[in-house]
Amino acid sequence: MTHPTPLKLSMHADEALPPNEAEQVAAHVEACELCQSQLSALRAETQHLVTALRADTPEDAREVPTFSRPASLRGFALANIGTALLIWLAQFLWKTLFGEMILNTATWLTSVYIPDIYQLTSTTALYLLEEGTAMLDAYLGFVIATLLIITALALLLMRQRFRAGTLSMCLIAAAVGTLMVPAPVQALDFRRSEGVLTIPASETIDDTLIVRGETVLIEGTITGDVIAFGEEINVTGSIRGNLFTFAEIVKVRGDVGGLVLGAANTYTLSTSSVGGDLWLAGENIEVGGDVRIGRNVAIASDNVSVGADVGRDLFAYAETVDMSGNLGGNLEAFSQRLRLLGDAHIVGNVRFRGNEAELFRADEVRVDGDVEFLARPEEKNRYATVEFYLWQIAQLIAAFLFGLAMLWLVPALRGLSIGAGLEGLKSAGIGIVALVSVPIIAVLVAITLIGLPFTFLALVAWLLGIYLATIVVGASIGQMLVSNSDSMPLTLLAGLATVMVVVNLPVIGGIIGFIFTIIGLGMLVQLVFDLVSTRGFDEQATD
Amino acid sequence: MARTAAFEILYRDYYGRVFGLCRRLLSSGDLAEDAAQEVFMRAYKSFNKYDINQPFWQWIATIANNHCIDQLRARSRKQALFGDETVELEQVPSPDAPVLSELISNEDTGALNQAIAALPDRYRVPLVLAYFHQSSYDDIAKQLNISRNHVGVLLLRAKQRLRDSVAAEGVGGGQ
Repeated sequence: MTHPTPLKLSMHADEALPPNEAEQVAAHVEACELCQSQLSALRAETQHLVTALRADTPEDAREVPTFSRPASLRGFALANIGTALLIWLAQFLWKTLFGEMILNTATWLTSVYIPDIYQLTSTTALYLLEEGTAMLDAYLGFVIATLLIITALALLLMRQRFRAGTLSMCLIAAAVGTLMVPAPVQALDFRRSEGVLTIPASETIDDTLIVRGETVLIEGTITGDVIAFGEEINVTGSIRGNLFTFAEIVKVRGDVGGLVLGAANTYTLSTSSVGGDLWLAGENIEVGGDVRIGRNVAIASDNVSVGADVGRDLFAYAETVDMSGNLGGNLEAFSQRLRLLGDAHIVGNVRFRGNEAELFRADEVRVDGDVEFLARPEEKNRYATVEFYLWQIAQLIAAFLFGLAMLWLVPALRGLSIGAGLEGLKSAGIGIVALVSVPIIAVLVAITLIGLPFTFLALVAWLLGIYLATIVVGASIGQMLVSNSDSMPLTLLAGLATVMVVVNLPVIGGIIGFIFTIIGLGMLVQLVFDLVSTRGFDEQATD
Repeated sequence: MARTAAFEILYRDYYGRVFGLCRRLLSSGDLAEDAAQEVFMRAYKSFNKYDINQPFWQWIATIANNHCIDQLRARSRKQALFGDETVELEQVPSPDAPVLSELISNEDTGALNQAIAALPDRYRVPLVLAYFHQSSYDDIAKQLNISRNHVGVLLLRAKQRLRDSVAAEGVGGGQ
């Protein structure tokens, strides 16, 4: 009688033999005492092993670490490439297409009747667009480099985990390469003082200057921009860039190459020239007769007095506007009173939105164009126009398409619901905070100049969030309305249509619209935090 | 969102077991922690493929086994992690050698576990799969890409190694 091999016996003990072999071994074991004792010893051993392996060792008593959700390498890379392309595309479109289109449309629209405020708005928008493009130009390299660095870092981290190959190294190399040729960011010169801060006439500053002091005296030459804060600011030197001032009293008697933008209680310009626009807000603003402004002047103030030579147009929002200088373009006054004094000469038209009786015109004054009086446009019943409904439908379609795209791209958005009671209040609270804090933080960051691209991105995200907020609320209202439908587009459309009707209700529509916006914004903020948070599951489970 | 919430609950409930399995397979706590995270990451990615009627443990343990075996393979940098069946067979012990239960007391699991952890990967992995995870020989064979007999041989050798090392340590008092 041959005993089964140790292997067969061991496998038999583990019940791992094929049935026919198992039968043979079983038959043998029944008749063989030696094998019987070996088999039971093997079985005891197995049991022993099972018990030992199952026993918890001190090492098993670990805390459950936070679960980090997987990051998708592909998605991340695609997002970065997409963003870079988008920035380039946006820049291209902005410069070539939009600039032209907006300019042309602006010219065309001014020829038909529009409320006067349009003129100022369009000019403002154009200015911002131009500046925005320039800003984007300057910082594009920086933005893209940042994105690449983030990509590279993420890849490095992932490489440790997944042993990613050459691709990541290439991207890192690209990022480093981009860094080697950084965008020319102008240097900054910060100065501050509690008392009087003087930039003496002998000094020339080749950077952008940011100054803060109780009294700021700028007598030297600054080749970059000047941003000045203080009680009183006196500029007698020369500034080649732009001049931004925020003070009680500002007196400018020097030359500024670019834009002059300022807010002050009293702003006085005399014996100076401004190469760009002049944008001022304050109580009393006086632009003397010995001043020359290269481009437009826009002033919002109680009392405005302009004696300067202005290259282009003058827009003034004021109680009283006194004009005694020469104007290369049009004069637009949104004021109680308009006085054309001395030997003022206006090459373009004069548009005075006010009462004809409030226009005083001295004998010597020449107006080459027309003098127009525009009464305040009558409030029309907006619900009674076809345009209103067409516009609403267009908005609905846009919101629907945008919403559909977003819900498709970000499936997590589909799960959002307004939530009743406290949940809704919480969203609204978070929404208000986001609504208010983002622009404030963005502006604060912008002051550092290097923060400009971040400000820009934050504001874009903020605007996008505000737009998306109502859509998200619409989507969840849609789910409540058409709860038995599986069709996402249908529920979205129903919800958006409802929202559109409700926010256009007379009197309460605006408030409801605001509430929807903050709730939606709050929901989005919470979602974003949820998605990026690495909080432990214990906390999340209690949410 | 519901999917994520469900997964998070499962993660909390099963982390310990998955970690335990990985630790026994990889015989390192730190490696096991990484592996457990990776296993749950993989599970999270393919969670929509998980059949709700199948026990979750079975599903995730398969992922864990595969991942750990891959890790060990990558570590040994060659496919022949589990050796050659015939070579192993030559080293099979004589059938009447004392078994573990005779060498070490049932209470002294620590010493036995230490011996298990010290086993070479090719013996430890099938042992853990067979007696901790309680996979069948066929399942182990499939996962390790070897024959069923080869599994038997490896287990036999594993136990022999354990007996040797426990006997050498002289720990515990047998029966």
